[in-house]
Parts: sequence; structure tokens; C-alpha cells
Amino acid sequence: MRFVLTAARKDIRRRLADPVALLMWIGLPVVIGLLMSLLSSGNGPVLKAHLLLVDLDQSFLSRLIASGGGQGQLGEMLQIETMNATDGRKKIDAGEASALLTIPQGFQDDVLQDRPVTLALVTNPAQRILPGIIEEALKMLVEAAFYAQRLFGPELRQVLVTPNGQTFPSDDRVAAFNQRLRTVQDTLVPPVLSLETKTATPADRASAPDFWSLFLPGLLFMALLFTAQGMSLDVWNEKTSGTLRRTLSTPQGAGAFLAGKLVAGLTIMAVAVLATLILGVTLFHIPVARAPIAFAWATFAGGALFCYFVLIQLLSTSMRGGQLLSTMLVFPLMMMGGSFFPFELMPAWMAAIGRWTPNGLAVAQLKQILFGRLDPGALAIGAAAIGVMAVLAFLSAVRRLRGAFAVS
Amino acid sequence: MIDVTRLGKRYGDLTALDGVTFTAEPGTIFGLLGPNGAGKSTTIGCISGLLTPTSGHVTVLGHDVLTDHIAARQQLGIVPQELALYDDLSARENLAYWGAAYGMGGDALKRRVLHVLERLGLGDRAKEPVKRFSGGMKRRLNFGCGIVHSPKVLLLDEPTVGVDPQSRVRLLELVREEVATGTCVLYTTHYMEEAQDLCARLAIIDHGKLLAMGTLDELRRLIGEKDIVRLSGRFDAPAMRRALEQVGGIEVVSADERMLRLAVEAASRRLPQILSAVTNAGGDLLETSLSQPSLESLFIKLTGRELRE
Repeated sequence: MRFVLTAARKDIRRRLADPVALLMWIGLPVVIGLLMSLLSSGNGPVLKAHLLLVDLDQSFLSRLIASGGGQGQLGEMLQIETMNATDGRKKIDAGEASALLTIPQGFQDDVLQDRPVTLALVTNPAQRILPGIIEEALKMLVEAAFYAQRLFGPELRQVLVTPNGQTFPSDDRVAAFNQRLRTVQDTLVPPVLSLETKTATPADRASAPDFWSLFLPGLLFMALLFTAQGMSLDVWNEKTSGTLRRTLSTPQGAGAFLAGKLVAGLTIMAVAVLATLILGVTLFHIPVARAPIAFAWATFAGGALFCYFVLIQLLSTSMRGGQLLSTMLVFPLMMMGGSFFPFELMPAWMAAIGRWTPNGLAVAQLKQILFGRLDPGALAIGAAAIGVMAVLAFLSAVRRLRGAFAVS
Repeated sequence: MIDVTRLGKRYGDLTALDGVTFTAEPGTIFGLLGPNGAGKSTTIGCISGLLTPTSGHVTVLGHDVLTDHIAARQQLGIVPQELALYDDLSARENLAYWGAAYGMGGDALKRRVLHVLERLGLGDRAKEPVKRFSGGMKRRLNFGCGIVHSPKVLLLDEPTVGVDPQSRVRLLELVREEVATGTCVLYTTHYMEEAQDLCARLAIIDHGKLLAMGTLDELRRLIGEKDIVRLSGRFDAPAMRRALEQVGGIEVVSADERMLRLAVEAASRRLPQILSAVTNAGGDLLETSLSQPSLESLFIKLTGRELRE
């Protein structure tokens, strides 16, 4: 054990002699995080869903949809452009809008007569989020129209369908409508449902993750992946410098040699994790009580990543090959494993796969530790899965190191 | 002491070692002399436990290097042919690391490291990163890392290759100092002079086989009093052999289209006779040289080629 610590100290000293590499491993995810933070800070232009509206009915109700969609909070999300059917079709086919809504002829009559009516919505397949906003907004409008029709159907019919071509409804009809409103006043005013707006407090953050809650665990594991990959390459440096053969001819075995490297890796990763968590607690409202277990988890998982990468290096036939292979693995792992994009923003199928990658498994669990409900059972199963894989990788690496790798 | 018995090592069809047997005694230097690729480093690899022999066995102070490898390695110090140092660490840190690898620690290790640094002449550069050292300084430190734990058996694999003359002299002094403390040294080299100067006993190895073994005197007796004559030029090798054998008292060690090597007693007196036979047989002579009996001439006699070829 004493030699393992000596070997670890030696590797840490060597790492510190090359601070640029260390800064790259840990600094790169920080830079990426800051860039992502800036991108999502809302200082740039707000994206609006561009809705093309073809109004074939030209009625009071159809115009209400057009004007209602462009007002209030909906107006901040929607830009509505009215046009004829031919132009609308051309524009949506050319991908120049998020969606095309066609209000059919007879729409108002059908609504008022309580007859089924269909609004046609064509969405732009090249866009994912903006057509979704439009769809949700329309569902809301349709629902509102349904309840309005249920509550005020007869009165609306009387108001909107004026006899003898009158532009405005008669006083009698307005009075009847007013009477009807009074009957539902107790329900509507004060409203049964109320909206309370408040500023989120740190305690609320646990259940309402913000940008950093989404990205911080992934970014931390990006740093751990870089560190694990970078440190794993050291077996090649030891081989080419002759120190590997020399160490293996001492009474210390390959296991002690690799264990020293693992301890060095764990130490450097622990520092990175600790720094991240201190930042997280002070700046991003990570609950302090969750920090110790998060620290242990992330460091442990980082050590496991190191074991996998060392095995990859030892199975490679050259340093260049090892570097290439591990780099080819690092980036897809970061993509799939929630480091570049949080699982919450991924398509469901990708997130499902990503959560089973070696780093994704750890990232998902870290999010639970930091921001979710702590489930000791799930944590234990996750730790066992990662631990078993890491031990197998470590033993295979020792075997390979003792065999062909050292003497080839 | 090192006891090597019928040691064999094969890599597929290639035989790297073939039945190598020798014993190296405490307080002496046993030289393993041979050209590059002869099997010297493979022998060291098998003794140090880095390579697993295909046949035979090796013991170090009675401990089998395969079945009792920890005890065997504990007694071994190794100075590899290539530098094996951590360039980013200082000389002191390197020595401390290799000492710890052999189980040393605490004050004993610190004292030993300081002592070795002084012996290596690196005391004033102890804290500097090795990457700032000259080649000779690195060689000395490489040697120091092999002796920091005071091994009873020291394996030196061509430790003076590429070393400047001053550092070489210092290194050879260090080797002698180790032997004076009773250390058994196995010294591989392809420098004939080093082998002659240092080694009490020698073995000549080529193509994985020991060709001859003994003290320097014993080996010299093998070649007798014959000098080695080298003739270079353009020759018809079979015709040359026939012509020279007819002269009598001339042993043709090797003959090819460019070089003839002959073992001849009192060669300086018989040189006109030799040259005449060669030219009469149609040889086109360009250069002639003659050397007194030595390890090199023995090597040529045994292998038919120069040590550095």
C-alpha cells in the first residue's frame, strides 16, 4: 500500500509539472458551460413561432382567433401572418414558416350551432419546438372556445347572428347576454383558480432545475472524461520512457503500479469535483447537504472511467492508436451521456440509450443526488454496476500490463 | 549469485536463447559479451522476471525468479540499456521512487538517496528536474536508480552506450565500487575493452548461444598465440581458401567476396607469404590489418565476424 501511495504521489507530481494539460481537461468544460449559459441567457433575439393563417370564413370568431393569437403572452411567442390559401401553401412548402392554419368556411356558424368543426394545421417538419408551441396555443384556444360555447352559446348566437343585416346587436340581446354573465359571476369572479407569482427561493430549486442544474452534472463529467482519458495515456509514456519495464522488474507488481495511477487519477478528479461542488453550492444553489454524497459519487464514477480508459490504452497496439480510439469514444460518450446536452433536452430514445452509457449512468444518478429524490436503493445498484465494471476493467488492465504490453 | 541453467526463450520460430548456462559469483563481475541481437538483453529480461523463459530456470541468491519472484527481485538491481527515468521529477525524487519500489522508506531511504546522489556527483543538482540534465548525468542517475536499494545482485545492460568518455569512466568506477561491497554484477556489453577491463569471468554469446566462457586468461588460451589478419578487397572466396590452406599454418576463420579473416601465429613475419598467395590466386587486395590475440580475435574466431557487425 505504501508503494501505491508513493506511485500516486509521483504521478501527481508529474501531472503538476504539466499544468496546461490539467487546465485543458478541467477548463474546457467550464468554457463550454459558460458558452451554453450565454446562449440560453435570453439576451439574444427571442425566437417566435411564425404562423400563417388562411381565414376562409372571415367571420367575427375567425378574426378573434387571428387577433387573440397575436396578443398578450401568446403574442410574445407567435407571429401571425394572414394570407390566402395558395400563398400559405407555397410558403409552408418552402419551409418559410412554423405552421399553416386554415380556418374553414362556415367556421363561426358551425361553432355557434354546436356542430363539429375542424381546423387544419400543417406544421413545418424541419422545425421541432416552434410548431409545438403553435399546436399548444391552438389547443388552448380551442378549449377556450369550447367552454365559451358551452356557457354562452345561445347568447352568442343571438349577439352574433343579427337579423335584417343589422351591424350591432339590439339592446335586448345585449341585456340578455349581460343577464347570463351575472348567473355565472359567482364562479368566474372571484375566479376559482388563481395564479400566484413568486420568485423562486433556493429551497425551491431542488424541484425546479435551472440551466446550471441541467448542465452542471454533465459538464462535471465532461471534465472527468477528459481527465480519465488524459491520465490513461500515461501508461504509454511509462512504456516509451522505459520506466514501466523497470517498475515491473521490482518486487512491486503491475497491480500496484496501476493502483498508484488510479489513486493519482482519483485525487485529481476529487479536486475537480470538490471545486465544482463548491461553485455549485455558492453560485448555483446546490443543497449543501447533498454535496458530500455527490462528491463521493462523482469521484468514484470518475475513477471507474479511468479504469475503462486505461484498459482501452492497454488493448491498443500503439500510443497513437490508443489516443485515437479513446478520443473517438470520448466525444460520443459526452454527447450521449448528457455532457453536451442534458437528457431532458434529448429525444426520448437518445436519452434512454444515453442513461446506460458508463458516464450517462453516473450523470443521471448525480442529478438525482443533487436535485432529485435521493433513492439509496437505486444509488446502491448504480454504484454496484459501475463498481463491478470498473473492477473487471482494472483486473483486465493488470493482466494485459503484466503480459504483452510491457514487453512488446 | 546468479545461477542460469539451460535457459531458452523462443518467439514463434525465432530462438532468442538456446540452452544458456552460467553462474555469476558474489563480489565479481560476470561479462556477457556479444553483438546487438545476440541475446544479452533477453537473458537480462529472463533473470529480472520481465520475460518468461521457454525452458530452463534462473535463481538469484537461491530464489527462483518465477516461483519465488518477489524474494528474487528484492535482491536485484537493474540498470537498463535505455534510460528509464521520470524526466519531470528531480534526481532525488527519482531515486526515492525507485528505492520505495524496493520496499525502502522513511529516514533510511532519505539517507541512502543523499549518499547515492553524492556518489553519482549529482548532490548539487539533486532538486533539478532530470529533463535539464546532460546525457552523461542522466546515465549516472540511471545507474543510481539501480543501486539505490543496495542490491546484492546487479544487472547492467550495456550501461555505457552513448556515454561521453568522462561519464563512462565515472560509471565504471561506480560499478567497481559496487563489486567491492560484495555485489554480484552481470554486465552485458559489446565493448570489448570494457569487458577485458572489468570482468573476472566472461561468456561470449551470439544468436542466443554461449560460444565460450571462462576467465580472460582461459578465453585467451582458446585462441592460442594466433594473431588475426584481415584482408579486404575483391576475392573468389573458395579459391582463396584453397590457396591459403596450401600455404600451411594459416587458419581461414572466414572468407567472403570482400573480406578474409585469418588466424596466424607470428603473422607479421608471415605476411609477405600470405599476400603472395592471395594475389597469385587472383585476389584484388585493397587493405590489410593485423591484431594481437584478444577477446575480439577470439570472438572473430568463434563467430567468423566482428563484434560490432
